[in-house]
Amino acid sequence: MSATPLDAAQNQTAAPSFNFEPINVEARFDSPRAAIDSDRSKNWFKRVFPILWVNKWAFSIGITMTVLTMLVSVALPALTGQIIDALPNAIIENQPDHFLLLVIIMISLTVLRFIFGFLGTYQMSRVSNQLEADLRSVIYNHLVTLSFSFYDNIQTGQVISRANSDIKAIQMFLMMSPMLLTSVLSFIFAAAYMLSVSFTLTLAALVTTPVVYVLSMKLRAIMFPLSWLTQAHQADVAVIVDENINGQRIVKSFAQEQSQLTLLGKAAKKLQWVQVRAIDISSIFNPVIEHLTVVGQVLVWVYGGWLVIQGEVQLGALVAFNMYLMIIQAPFRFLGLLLQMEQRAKASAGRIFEILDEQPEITDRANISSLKSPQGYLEFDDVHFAYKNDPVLTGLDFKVESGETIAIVGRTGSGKSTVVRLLSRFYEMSSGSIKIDGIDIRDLALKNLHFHVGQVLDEPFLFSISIRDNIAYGKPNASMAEIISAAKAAQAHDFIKNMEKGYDTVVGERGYTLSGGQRQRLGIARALLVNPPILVLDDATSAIDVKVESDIHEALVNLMANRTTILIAHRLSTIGLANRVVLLDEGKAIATGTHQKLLETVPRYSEILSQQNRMPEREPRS
Amino acid sequence: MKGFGSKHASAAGLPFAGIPPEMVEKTNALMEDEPDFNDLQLTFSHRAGEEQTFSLINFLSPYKYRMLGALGLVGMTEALLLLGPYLVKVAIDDAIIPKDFDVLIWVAAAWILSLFVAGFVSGFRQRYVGRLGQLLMYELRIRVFAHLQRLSLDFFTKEKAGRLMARMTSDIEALSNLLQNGLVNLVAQTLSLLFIIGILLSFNIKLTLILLVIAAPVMLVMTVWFKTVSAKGYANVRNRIADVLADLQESLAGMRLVISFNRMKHNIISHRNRVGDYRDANNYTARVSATYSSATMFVDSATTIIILAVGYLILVDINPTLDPQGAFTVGALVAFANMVSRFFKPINSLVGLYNEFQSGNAAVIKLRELLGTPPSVQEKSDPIEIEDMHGDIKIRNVSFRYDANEPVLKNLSLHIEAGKSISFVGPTGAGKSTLAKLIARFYDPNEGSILIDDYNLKDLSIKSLHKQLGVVPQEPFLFHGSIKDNIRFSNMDASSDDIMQACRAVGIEDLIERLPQGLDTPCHERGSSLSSGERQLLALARAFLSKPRVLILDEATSNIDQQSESKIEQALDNLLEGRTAIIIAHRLATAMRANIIAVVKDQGIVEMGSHTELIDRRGYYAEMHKTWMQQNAGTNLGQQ
Repeated sequence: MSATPLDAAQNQTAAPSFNFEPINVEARFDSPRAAIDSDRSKNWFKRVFPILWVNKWAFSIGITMTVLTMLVSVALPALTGQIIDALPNAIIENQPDHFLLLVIIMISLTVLRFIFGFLGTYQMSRVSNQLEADLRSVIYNHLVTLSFSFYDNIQTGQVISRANSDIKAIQMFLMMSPMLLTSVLSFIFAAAYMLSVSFTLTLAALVTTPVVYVLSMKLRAIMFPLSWLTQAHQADVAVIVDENINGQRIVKSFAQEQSQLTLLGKAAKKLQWVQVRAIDISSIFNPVIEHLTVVGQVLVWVYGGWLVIQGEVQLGALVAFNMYLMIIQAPFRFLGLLLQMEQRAKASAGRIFEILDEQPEITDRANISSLKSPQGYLEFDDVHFAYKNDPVLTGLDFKVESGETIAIVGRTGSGKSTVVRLLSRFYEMSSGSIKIDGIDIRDLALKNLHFHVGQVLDEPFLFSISIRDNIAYGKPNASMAEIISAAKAAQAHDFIKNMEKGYDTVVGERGYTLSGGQRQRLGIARALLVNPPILVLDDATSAIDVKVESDIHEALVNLMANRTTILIAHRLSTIGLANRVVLLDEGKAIATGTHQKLLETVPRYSEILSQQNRMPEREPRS
Repeated sequence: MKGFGSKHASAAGLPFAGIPPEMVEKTNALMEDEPDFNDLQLTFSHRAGEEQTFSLINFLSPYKYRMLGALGLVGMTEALLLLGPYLVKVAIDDAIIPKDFDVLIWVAAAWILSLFVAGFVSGFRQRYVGRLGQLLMYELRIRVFAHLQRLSLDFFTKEKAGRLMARMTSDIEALSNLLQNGLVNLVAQTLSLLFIIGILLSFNIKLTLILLVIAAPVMLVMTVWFKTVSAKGYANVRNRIADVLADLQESLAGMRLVISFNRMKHNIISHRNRVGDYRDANNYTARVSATYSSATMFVDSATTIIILAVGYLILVDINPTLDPQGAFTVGALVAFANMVSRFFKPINSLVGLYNEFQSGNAAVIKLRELLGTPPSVQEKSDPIEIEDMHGDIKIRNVSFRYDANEPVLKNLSLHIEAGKSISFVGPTGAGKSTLAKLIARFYDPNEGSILIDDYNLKDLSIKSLHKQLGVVPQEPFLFHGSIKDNIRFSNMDASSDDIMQACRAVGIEDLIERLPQGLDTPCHERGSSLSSGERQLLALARAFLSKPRVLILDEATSNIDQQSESKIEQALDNLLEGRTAIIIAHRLATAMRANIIAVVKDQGIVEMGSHTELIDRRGYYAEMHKTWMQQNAGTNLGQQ
């Protein structure tokens, strides 16, 4: 297998323009029009406000429609009351004109409410959905600017929950809070009507409301932690199930079925316990809350009925009064809900700001130079680097000639991987310099640097997209011929071809459906496709069969001819590919030279090698 | 970045990633009260027992009287709640219009009393039905999980983990919803509807007919439309948000690649596209919901107007003097108008219930399928409990194939003496691993038999067999929990000393001592805080702790770094001592540690003997060895 087809394919489609950023997707939606206020001293609402403000017109329409709906809704019960009161006159006196007029007004109002109601609800939801989408995009846009060190210290699950439930919490609050306006308005109207009927009747009607309000708040306060605990216990059950499915072989191997069943039993019991507790509590509160509201109605009928008997109030007004009683109670509940939502939204916003306030550690300098097609001459000059106060490199010096292949050799933990990560500026060296073709890498745009330095990491991460897209990750617009050539060079073409869907096979989550060696081969193909002038292979063949590895090496030897390559390897066979070896020990390059020369002259070298290759390893040809 | 200060660490891969910090205090207080159920001890049997086919009826039949009791309570609550509107009519016609205040007092007293009783009954019903539902769910979880444990390995390789997970989570939830809300609501809403129609008929037949014939069908059609369309809409929203989150999750996990391949802009755009699709899906459901909610209000009000208008005509027709004792009265009309929205409520709920029944029913079918799947490896009804196994393994004329595929092994015979170790080498896919799985009885051979200490594996109790067997697979699986929990997994009774001894035996004592939390260090998501070599050593310690009579190392030493490898090879000496061992190895260096080496190739064993014997035979093994030596020599010379 030779690599010539790859070269050929790449020559054919040589990049027409100098493009560092491969983009092969059509933007179907606009980017968010606003960002979070970066002033950390402001309160959370002010910081989020710009995102709300860009939607001000859509929002105003929504709120206007909602207010109109409310106004019509508030008028309807009074009208119903009037219709009822108009009945006796219309029937007994046989003068239906007034009655008919009222009915017609009511029909028109109903139609209006339908129109306003639809427009208001829909428009508000649209704004709310836009808000959520903008928040999501803003967070994502920020996440891709952050550096490796940020990702070393986070748990993905946490970020995802921030990007999910926390966004929802903010969105809900931002959308609900303006509703307070309509809610207050309807409260005022309802109260005005009720008071106009009778002050004492209003008092009687509302006598149970504060109790209902207090009870609802209390119930919610009790239920909230219960529902979180329920979720936590549900997650516990799910974790046990997940582990027993994925680790079934271990469970069976050690005959732990019974103990795992008991473990699940305990988790399920706890879940049952917390749910029963929630049921017990709500089965006391709920009936009381529900029926106390009705008690208010009973009071209205008794006292109001007496007032009607006394001739102070009309029957229709009493019916309408009861309808307003329902309207007037809503703002009370709503206010309680809103206060709680504000607390949640504030906490959620805090968690989202934590991400958005995170500054990228490594950024472009103000004046950057650009490399078009570097020769790949590398200089490491007195490079120092410490990881979390742990010095890793302490004055590293070495040079790599253009087109040369070098192997970095050292014990585990000697900082081999660090060297190549510094080269791509994934981390920033604390002092010293690294130069490509004589230009300090810190004077290059990061994208420019990454474009020229291709890295294949030892644990190749694959995305759950098709194999073709995985290989084309760094060059999404690559032609199929290019992709196949890269796969062939990485010895991946044969196994891909044997898959049912070939290059269209979608890689399972985290690539677990492929073996370690297959994943590494795809990782190599991915880097080869980009065809960078500087290539780093960080233990990239560790899980690959010796036979296959030697085939890859053959392809690499051809490919390496025109590029600078850095290999990090434990195996002698891999080291053998290099023109020169850099021996890393205690943070410095203590020796460089050919493998043979180092073996002969540097005792430390053979010592380290023999530690790593005590016995010839791996099964040949299979 | 702060972590969630909760006892519940984030569950791997689940959307729920912990309790928010502001809730931690209250939840912790709650957990103080929580019993720990330490006495709970469930028994597990490999035989399923006399369980009936899973169906709703069979599942509920032990609780039929309780269910009937619950339904009785539901009926009572509904009837009591409808007293209210009826009493309003009485109040208007018999008290307010005739100006009789005494009657009004009586009506109010009756109403309050009915509320009191209704409150009590409904509280009791909620508690009763809720607790029953939770009990049923608990039992179902145990039953499904026990069955999962019973099923054989082939089942787990075929079935996607996510789908099995759904059986234990969303399907059980769906069933729980159906039992706790669905059935109760079905009865409650049906009764409520019947009661309402009854009361309305007592007010006026014509008006009731208008409601039933004109308004009800309109509402019904609208609701059916809404449920169908919105169900699709919400399913779409769920899929779209799943896309968004999956993309985010992958971006986060693969961020190093995103950065090094300059994919930021591409990914930003493609993420924004997903977010946009999600927004559009949300807008669609918003439009549907807004239409439906405004339309129901419209129908509600329009019906009220029609009722008032027709009521007016009826009054003109039959009671022009508005006599409160007449056949139709103003009171009845007001009460009727008030009942309109109450009449629509059960109709809407019943349509909603249909969806719940569908998903509940789908869950029942899926669970029935799962619970009805027999394990392919079955335990005999009267199995032999084997104790103090020697580990003498005889394989007689064994043939095996996966499903309908080509046979992997054909007529293979082999004798492994107790206390001896054997290595299986050979090309990938030759059946080395399969052979080991047959010995562990993860699968049963299609033909032939496997004997341990002269007992046929099929006659043994699976538990007693596995108790004395230790398997270390290629991918070391670590459970959520501490290092200690993970090592102790094979032997729950082991003391800390035993565990440390196991650590010493595999050479991870210094690693444990280096960790600030020592043995209590948590192994995070799939053990990602430990290197793959360290994880493999933990898996070996786990096997060591169980003191198995037969040890199976299924490629347990591949995929690890050099430093760990030398440790593992030392550990192997400790592990192999005095027990029967089966080693499947990638590296000849490891394979050579066994007493006997067997080359598995072409559906059987083609060569077998000690290392020197096989070298002398100049067969496949000798060839392997030669290539391997050459390669080593070649690299020593360097290629350039």
